[in-house]
Order: sequence, then structure tokens, then C-alpha cells
Amino acid sequence: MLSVSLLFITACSSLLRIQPETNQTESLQGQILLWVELPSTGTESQVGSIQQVVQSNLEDFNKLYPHVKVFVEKFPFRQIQAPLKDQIQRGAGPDLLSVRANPELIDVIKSGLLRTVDETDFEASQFRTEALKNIRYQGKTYGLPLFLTTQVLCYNKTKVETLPNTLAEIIQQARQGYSVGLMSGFLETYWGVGSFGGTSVENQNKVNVQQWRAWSRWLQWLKEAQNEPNFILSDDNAALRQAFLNGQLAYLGCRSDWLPDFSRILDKETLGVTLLPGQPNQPASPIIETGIIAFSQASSAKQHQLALRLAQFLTNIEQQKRIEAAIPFIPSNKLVTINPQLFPIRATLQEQSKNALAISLDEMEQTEAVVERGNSLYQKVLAGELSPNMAETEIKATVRQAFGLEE
Amino acid sequence: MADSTNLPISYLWDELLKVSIFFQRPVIQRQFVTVVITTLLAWAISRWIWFQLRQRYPQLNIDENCNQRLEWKQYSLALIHYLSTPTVILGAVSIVTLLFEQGGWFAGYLTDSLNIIGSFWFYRLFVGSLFTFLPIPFVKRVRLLFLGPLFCIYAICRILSWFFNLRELAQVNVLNLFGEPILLKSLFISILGLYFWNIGVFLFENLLLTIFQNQGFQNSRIRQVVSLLLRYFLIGLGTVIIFGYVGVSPTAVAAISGGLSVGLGFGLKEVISNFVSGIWLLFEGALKPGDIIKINGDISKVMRLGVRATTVQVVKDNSEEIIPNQIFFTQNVSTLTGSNNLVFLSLVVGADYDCSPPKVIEVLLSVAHDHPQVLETPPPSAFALNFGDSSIDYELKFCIADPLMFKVVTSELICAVWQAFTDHGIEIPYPQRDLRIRSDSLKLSSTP
Repeated sequence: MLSVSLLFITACSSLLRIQPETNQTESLQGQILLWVELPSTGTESQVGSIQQVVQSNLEDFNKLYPHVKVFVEKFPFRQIQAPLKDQIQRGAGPDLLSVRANPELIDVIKSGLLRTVDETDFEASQFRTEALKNIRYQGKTYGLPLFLTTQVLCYNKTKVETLPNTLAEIIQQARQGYSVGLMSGFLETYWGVGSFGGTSVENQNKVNVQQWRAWSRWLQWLKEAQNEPNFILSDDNAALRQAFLNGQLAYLGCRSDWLPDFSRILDKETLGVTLLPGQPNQPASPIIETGIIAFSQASSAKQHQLALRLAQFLTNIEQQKRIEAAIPFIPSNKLVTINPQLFPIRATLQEQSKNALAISLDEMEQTEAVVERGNSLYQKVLAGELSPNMAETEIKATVRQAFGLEE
Repeated sequence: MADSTNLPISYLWDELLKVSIFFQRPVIQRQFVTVVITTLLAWAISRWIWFQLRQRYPQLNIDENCNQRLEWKQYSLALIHYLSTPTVILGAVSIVTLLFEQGGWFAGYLTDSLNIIGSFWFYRLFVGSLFTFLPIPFVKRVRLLFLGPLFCIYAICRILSWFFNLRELAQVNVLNLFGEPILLKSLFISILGLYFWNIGVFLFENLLLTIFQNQGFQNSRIRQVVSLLLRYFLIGLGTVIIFGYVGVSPTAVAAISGGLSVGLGFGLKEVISNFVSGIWLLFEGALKPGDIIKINGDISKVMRLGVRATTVQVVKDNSEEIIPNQIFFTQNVSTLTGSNNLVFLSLVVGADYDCSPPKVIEVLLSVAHDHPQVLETPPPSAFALNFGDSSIDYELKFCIADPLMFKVVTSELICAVWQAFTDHGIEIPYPQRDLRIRSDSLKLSSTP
């Protein structure tokens, strides 16, 4: 009965639609459903700001396509995959979704629930290479990159006089009484590997020895640094964020998607953002994550056309600027330029992302095993149960096994 | 119940539009059309098979109005009958689902449908199993009023949960009443809760009466009092609990009842009066089902005691009369079965002066003793009443246990007395008149 009623409503809504107009832009009509994955912190104010941005984007879209109605549903960070699979398997769920590229997404791709996109449908060359890595899987493209996130060093302008450029300087400042908070964990601290000579993740057919040697040296540095006064290494991200907002920390290694929250609570005279400290000529290399717009396999051809149009709209230069202005994300469109004088925080993010390390979708599954093992080794080294050299040996073995590489 | 997460009514329309997005998709249309067609086909096939079986084996027909429990063979047949349709549908939809999955088509809703059909199968099994220990009409009533609606609501909720977030849907504010929001959840629980509670109480009452009967509890008045009071108590309790749970504001109730109290006082005066009279009658025990009473000049049998009215059957024309209970408090009512059911009757007959009165009395008593419905205790008695004009009059007094049989017994006794008098040569004389012709009147007539 319900199905019949809904089919009736569907039929009625089709009949009630405004007649197509001659202009192609205005002739697009229909309803589509967009699912949005909220950022990792997901605080009320952050959700509010994301909601505002989405609303504003959709209003702009509606000006162009007045007969297209976009419904939006929001999901907390990392809680979108289960309902996504559940819904698309039925043929329901969103027509397009804004989601982080992660191993769980690969699972959805493998289930055949996401629709491939022809790169001729959009101008791939306008996007950053790191971003494109996260929409391609096994030679097929599964969406459009929307934004990038990475890590930067946040600081309290009222407390800090001189910004540290190197790891030695930040330790020096910690000794002088400037409290430093860093997120703990394998991936969370991976940004320091670049400062010790690490270049990139695995390439060719061999284990990248230089990379893991750098990781070992970075672990040694962290092991020593954690004993410094005013140097806090914690896996309680919420506590670190709160301490920074309360003014208890002078520096905080933070994710870029925390910045909307920080900007809302702290004024411009308090919040400062700078590059993560590295070594001379060896900058920090944080992991860069990509937010992508993917498309459901279940959508009708017409719904997919509308969804694709919306995705193209959200990734154009103008809208990327609008998103980036409202919430300091890193635009995926490389043609977006930022004036460092006017927007110093965004310029820093842009700058930091240049040295960032992207894990492609193709590598993500293997990387997951490495991250799991890396976390375990990281904890052991910091607890003094394992030497950094031993950790290096073990992680290389894991990498070799995960990627099927030679010695 | 006031809730900060209340959603506006427009949420419903938005959700419907959102769901209409799904129904524009061929992958969903395909699944639903397949389920509907497969189910209809499977249903038709199962009905056809059952029809053919009944044609070939007439013994498969079960009298559904039979108030007896089924034999095990009949039970098996009933179970097969009950399970054949869901089994065929389950099989057909399973095959279709498998084909969809093999073909790489979206089959999520087909799998969901299978779950509901599976639940339906178990529901039918449960209903079928009730036939083993309960009479068919009762099971049919339970299925129609309670189990069927319950399963329908379960199925509807399951289907709705495919498309809507039921938790959010429950929070939709349908309307504001006296400043209090009425949520969809409250409306749903109030209507269905009251319905199922009342039906549950009704079935429980039936069960209780059955248990009373099985336990040999013969006092129908006590049975009726207990069941009636329990019913109204439970209905009242359930209503209070349900309205309390959904958060009906006591202030609003006070305002409504206060405002309506005057109107209720006038408008429902008779109803309340009857209600109180009914409760009083039940407690007092002045009437009980089966009592024979004389009301409005008619002899009637009390059929049912209700809280508002009492139903009686008028003996003379077998019609049923619903008498408001307050009548029993404002009018004189004679009961023929008050402290006991005995009815004293008498028969007056005259006998010839030539017959010995003791002999006539003996014949009358023997006739009374010989009648099966004339009670031996108290014993029948006969009296010579007076010397009449043509006969000596006698009265036969006797007692019967069933007041409704007085006409029949009296008639039979008259016949028996006539026969006995004939057999014993006792004449029932006609009125006799002696005519005396005066001589002076003759003389006058003969004088010229």
C-alpha cells in the first residue's frame, strides 16, 4: 500500500513539475539526495558552520537550477559507511555523497555500489594530483575531489613571540615554558618523517628503506621529546583541543578541519596557524586526506545527471572559494588562488599541503595493515619496550608483506 | 509530551518527497513491482491448489463455525491450509531474490520483503497452532481483533522503517492542543494502545469466564460481577496509563473536565444514573441472569446484566427488551426467582355431588404425583373448597421448579384430571338448575 502511495506521489510530482524551458540550465529538474559526512570533531558549532556552507552552496545552485531540489542528510564522521551500504544495496540512499576517502569507502566501491565517472565529464586537470589519487581506484574514477585536509601547527598569538621553524626550536621553546601539545599515534605523528629524510610511501617494487629509517629516527626524537617539560604527547584529541581553547597550550599540532571550531571560539588576535616544524631543508610531511563527492549506483540516469551537475558546481573555482572562505579547508581545485596577506591561515594550509603525503585509494587497503602494525610499534617504542631500530625492522617486514615487495 | 526535538509537520512532507526520490529509480521500481506480482501470483497459485484439493477431498472442508476443538487430522489440515499461502509466497520471492542477486541487480528490498513474509509465515503458524487447544470461533475472533491487526502494524512499521527514520517520525508535532504539542508518537500510542488494551481486556475477560466455567464456578452473578468490574477497572487503568505515558497534560484534562462538567452533568445525567444503578444492582445481587421477573406487566427472563442496561427476554413473544438500570430502582419489579425458583400453582375443578370427596382428593393427588414436573417437595395438596351450585369444588395445589413452564404444566394437569375423573367415573357436572312452575300462574292462564 505504501509503495503504491509513493509511486502515486512520484507520478504526481512528475506531473506537477514546471514545463521544461528552452534554456538547458533551467530545463534541469527533479529531486536528488545528498549525504554529507561531518568533520572529525563534529562539535555543534562546527556542524552549524558546515550546515551554513552547504545551505549557501545549494542556494547558489538553486539560482542556476531553480527546478532542482536537493535534500541533505548529515552523518557523523566515520558513521556514514554502514548506512550507505545498507541503503544502496536496496537501491535507496543518496544520489551523491560528500565523504572522506578511506578504506571503508573501498569496501563500498568493491561492493559495486558506487558509480564510476567518466573523467571527460569534468575537467580533471583542474584538480590537485593528491586529490585525484583519492578518486581513482584500480583505473576507474569514482567521484570528484571536493576538499583536502591536513595537519598544521596552531598557536596562541597571545602567548607566542617567535614561531619555531624547526623541531629543535620547538623543543627549545618547550624548555622555556611554552607548552606544546601533539597528537599521539602512528598516523597522527607521521608528519615528522619528512623532517628526517623520509620522502614518500612505497614505490617501485622495493621497500622504501630511507622512509622507514627516517621514521625510526623520528620515533627516537619523539621518545626523547616526550620527557621534556611542557611537551605533551596525547592520544586524547578532545582534551588537547580543549586545553588549547582554554589557553593552556601555546602550540597544538592540529587537523585543518578543527580550524572552523577554533576560528569561531578564538578571535583573530589569539588564533595563529603556521607550518609544522621540520629540519632545515627538510619540511614536515603530514598526511593529506581528501573529501570526495561520490555517486550512487542506484540513481536513475536523470538523477545521476543532476548529481553530477551539482558536484561540478561544488568543485568550480567560485564555489571552492566560497567553501574555503567559510571553513578553512584546502581547495581541491588547484586554480583557486589565495592571497596570503588577506587570508594568512588559508595560505598556511595551502603551503603545508604542498609537502603533504597523500595515500591513494589503490594503496589504502595495504596501508591499513601497516598503520595497524605501526600503531602497535609506536606505542611500544614510546613506552620503552622496543627500540626504534627494532620497530623499523618490524615495520619494513609488515610493509613488505602488505605490499608484496622485495627486500 | 513537550520535547526539544519536536519536528514540524512539514518534516513529513519533506520525508515523503525524499522517499519519492527513491521511487523514481528503476532499481527500486523493479524490486517492488516484482514483489507485488510474485506475491499475487503465488497467492493465486496456492489458492488454486487448495481449491483443487478441496474438490478432490471433500473431507478437507472444516466447519469453521464449529465450537469444538479439532481432531489432530483436522488440525493438520488447518495448519496446512494456514501455511500453504505464505509458504508458496516465501518460496516464490526467494527464487526471485536469488535470480536478482545472481543477475547483479539490487535486491535489498526483496530481502527485506522475505523477512516480512517469513514473519508472516510464523504468524500463521502461531495462529494455526491455536486451533489445537481453542475453539475455532474464538481463534477467529482473536485473529481478527488482536493478532491480525498486531501483525499488520508490525509489517507496516517494518516497511516504513525502510524509508523513514521512525524515531524522528515519532517526534513530528501533529498539532498543538491547549498549548501542548501532540506528537505523532503520542497519537499512535493513544489510538493503538487503547485499541489493543481494550481488545486484550475483552479477551482476558472471556478467558476468565471460561476458566470459571471449567472450574465449576456456577454462581453466574459472581462471575458476571467479577468480570464486569474487572473489565471496567482494567479499561480505566489502561486509559490512565496510556494517557499518562504519552504525556497528556493534567492541566489540560482538568480544564476540559471542568469546562464540560456542567454540560456532562445535564447531558449524561441518565447515563451516569444508569451506570451507578448498574453497579449497585451487581453488588446487591437483586437480579441475576436467568431470573424470571415481572416488569411492565410481562413475565420476562433476565438475559444479561450490563452496567448501563439490563437485557430481558419477554416470555410472551420472545422479544428482547433493553431496560435502563435505573428502572429497577424507580419501579416495582416482581421476581419469581428471588430466593428460590419454586412457583406455586393451583387448579380448581368441580366434581359431582354423588362422588365421595375423599376419593376425588385422592384422584387429584395421584394425578399431581404422576406428573414429572410437579415437585414432590413441597408435596402437592388437594382441598375441597365449597359446595357449589352444581358440584363440590376442589383445589389442587402443586409446585414446579421452572416458572416458565407454568402454562404447560397446568394444561397437562387439566388433561390428566379429566382423564382420571373419566376413568374413576367421576363426573364434572354442568351447572344444574331446578325449575319450579307455580300452580297459581297456571290457573290464571286457564280462566276464561
